[in-house]
Amino acid sequence: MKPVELLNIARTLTANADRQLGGTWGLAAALLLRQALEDTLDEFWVSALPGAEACSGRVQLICLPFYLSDKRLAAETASAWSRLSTVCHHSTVEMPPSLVDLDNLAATVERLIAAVTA
Amino acid sequence: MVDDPVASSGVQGEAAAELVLDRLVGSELGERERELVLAAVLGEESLTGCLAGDVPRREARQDRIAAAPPAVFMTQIAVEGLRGIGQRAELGMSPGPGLTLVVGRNGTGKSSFAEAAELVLTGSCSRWSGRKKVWEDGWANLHHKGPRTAEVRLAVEGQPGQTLLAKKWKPNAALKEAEAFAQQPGGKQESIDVLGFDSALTIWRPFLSYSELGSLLEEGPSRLYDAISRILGLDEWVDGEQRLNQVRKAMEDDAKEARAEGGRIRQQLNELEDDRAEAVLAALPIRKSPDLDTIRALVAGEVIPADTAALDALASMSPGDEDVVASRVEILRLAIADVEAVASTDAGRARELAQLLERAVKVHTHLEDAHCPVCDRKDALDEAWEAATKARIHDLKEVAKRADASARALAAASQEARSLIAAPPAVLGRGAPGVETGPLAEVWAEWRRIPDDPSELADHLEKKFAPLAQEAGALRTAASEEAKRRKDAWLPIAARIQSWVPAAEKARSEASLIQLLKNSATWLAAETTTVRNERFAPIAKEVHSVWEILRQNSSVSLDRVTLEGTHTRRRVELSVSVDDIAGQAIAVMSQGELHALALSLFLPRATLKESPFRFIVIDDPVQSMDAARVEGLAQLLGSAAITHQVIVFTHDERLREAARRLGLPARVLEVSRGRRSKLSIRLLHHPVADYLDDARAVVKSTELPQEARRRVIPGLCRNALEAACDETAMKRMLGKGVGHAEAMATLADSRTVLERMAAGLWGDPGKAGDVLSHVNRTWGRQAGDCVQALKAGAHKLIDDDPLALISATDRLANAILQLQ
Repeated sequence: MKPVELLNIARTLTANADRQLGGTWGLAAALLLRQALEDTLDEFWVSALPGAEACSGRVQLICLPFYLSDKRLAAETASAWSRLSTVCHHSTVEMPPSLVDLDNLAATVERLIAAVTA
Repeated sequence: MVDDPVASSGVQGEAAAELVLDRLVGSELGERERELVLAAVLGEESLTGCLAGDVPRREARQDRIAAAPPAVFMTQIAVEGLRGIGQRAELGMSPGPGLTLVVGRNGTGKSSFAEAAELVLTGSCSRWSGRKKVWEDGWANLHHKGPRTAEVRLAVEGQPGQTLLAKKWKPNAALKEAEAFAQQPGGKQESIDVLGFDSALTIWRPFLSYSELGSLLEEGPSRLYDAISRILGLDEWVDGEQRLNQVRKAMEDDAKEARAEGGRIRQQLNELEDDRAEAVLAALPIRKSPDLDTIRALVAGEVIPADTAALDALASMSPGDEDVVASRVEILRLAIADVEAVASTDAGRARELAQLLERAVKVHTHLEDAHCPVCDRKDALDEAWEAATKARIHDLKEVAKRADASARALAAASQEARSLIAAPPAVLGRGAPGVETGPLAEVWAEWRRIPDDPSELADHLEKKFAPLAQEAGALRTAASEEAKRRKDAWLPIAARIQSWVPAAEKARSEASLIQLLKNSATWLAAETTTVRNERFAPIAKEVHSVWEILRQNSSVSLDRVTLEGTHTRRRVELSVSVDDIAGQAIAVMSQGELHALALSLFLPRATLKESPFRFIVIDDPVQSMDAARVEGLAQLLGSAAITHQVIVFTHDERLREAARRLGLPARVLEVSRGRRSKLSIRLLHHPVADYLDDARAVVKSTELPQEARRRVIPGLCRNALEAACDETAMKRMLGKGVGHAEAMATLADSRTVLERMAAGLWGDPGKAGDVLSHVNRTWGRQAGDCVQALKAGAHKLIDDDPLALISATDRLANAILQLQ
């Protein structure tokens, strides 16, 4: 599945706040968004800096501003990625992501996909 | 004072004094006022001492400045034979932050757990106390015959193991006859007080029941004020201010009474005709302060004003003694008689004749001639003549001597007699009030007209003394009667003044102190308000944001929460507006809204970080709330559960559904009731099970493309594993006596799944590198593969079979949950 497909499924989940999935929808959407983001980055590195996709997420995010022309998007991506990493884990210290949270994250992922596939 | 029953209030007193000292530094109060403020805050005893002149000291009493009680989570509530519970039933809870929902139909006895916990910890249960007798009687379970028990087990910060708090009743004992004790791990049973929770429980009270939710707002604004202001910890300040005011009031009352008594005395004095009264009045002016030294001297008789002195003098004056006068007269008369008797012998002539004859004898001796030169007779002056003449000379001299003596005696007698006629006393000329001195003065003037002639003098004395003595006697009697009359009127009022003087003196010496006390109290009151508002501001803000979550679609918005007024006029002002029209909360809110508002006030209070209670117990908060508000409540409880162990008893499925919908990890315990009040409790939901259930639901979901399902499932499984690890880690760390903050920080620091597992397995996320080999060794390669798959699958599409992965996770997570 392409990142954009994962993004769209995540959006469907949040849009319907699917009752059938109980409390899962938020978490499921976050998991899909993160994978969409990480897959997009992999795709980016293959053309921009082959081999970087094998590096840790941290290294990738440090390198990103140097290779992605939109610096602001690079920063947003770093922040979205860190937020997604947090909400995808079980947490006793944080509330699950809210709809608004997830919408913002989805918007960032969408911009990243657009920038990389352009 | 180690055995002070409320030692904790002493701690607060010390702490309050500490804070007062800080605030005093920049104040404009004088030295003495500062001392008063400090002493008042320290307590009754200190203030009394300070008024007596002691300088208040904060003694560093180690036994009092004990640390705040350690933080606690609840691990179990056990009940036997109380209310809805017959046979012993235990409600186990996972210590540490998180949401626990205890669900069950009405009448299953779930509330009995909440009530029992409250009863054990606070000694009373808000739902039972102050209720009708049927409540007090209905505490015991009817099916139960044996002893009754309510127990709470706590995980106390820094202490390995569990601390037991219990109340036990013998069969047929009354509610109040419980034996209460605490038992620390490995320790013996001791008084619950040793835990030092009493004041913390009053201040933070981590229990809220449905009935209390309703009453919190309805029982009057001052009760709510008290409940909220207690957490602000300014009781000692308020008490201190009251102490200052009480002392001042007492002094002012005394001073006022002294002034009033002064006024009454003045009135009484005005009616008195007495120069002592006038003198006291002069020293007791209407609006100025009295000259107490003068008054005291007047009352004690140390100073005697003129009139009184005159009367006293008149009452004791006397012109002389009658017998003395009579005897002097007699002596005088004798002397006169003697002189008269001597006078016939002519003492003068006898002396001249004697002198003549002496000269004649001398001439005769010279001439030795018998011829008389006077009569010219020859031989006249012979020896016989000489002898006869000498004898005559002797006789003549004797006569003269005697006459001289009589004359001297008369002179002396006259002198003595005259001396009896004293000048009238000065007071006679001056006069005295209430007596007539004129007649005596006249008689006395007559008495003073002293004749020169001794016989007349004797007559004067004899005739004039009696009338004088009589007149003097009359005046004396009149004067002493007048003096007595005045004294009789004066003495009672003098006694009254005498007993008033100390009070007036006290008032005089306290006049400046009253002003100081007033300044001190005013300062303390102003500071209390300032500090209270400072401290309340963040709580008010929190209340506001809680209400924003809870209000959902309520049209009532909470504008301001403020603490207003003092003493009997204290209240919590809840200003709300409905569609922008301002109003008072209680008037405009529905029952459900009021409950939500009460909850908004309760939660910030119960979850303050100063509270040692890391748990809150809420019984039935959902009643009369609509669906949207239940959703808000779930969200709110979820936030509270981040830092606290939130235990909610509810019969309403909606809260559980809302929690699920919001994806809040919650443990759900279901209480159901069998025959004869036998309860069964089962874990209905657990975050681990919930994640796995979700994963299974995703497998079956037809709405998601298959690849999307496979991408989501490992993430859900990983969360199940993490939830199991977190719970075990918390249990483990708290069980070892690790501090709550430290335990929570350790969990927060564990980010990757391997770190979380290391925390669960050993309480140490740093051992993440050892996890996989340990898992392989302990639970087999399949378990290790499962962990690897979860690690990768959360990020990437993996090939593993979703259902197999779920089952493997289920086994591993539950194995970890079982770890002790």
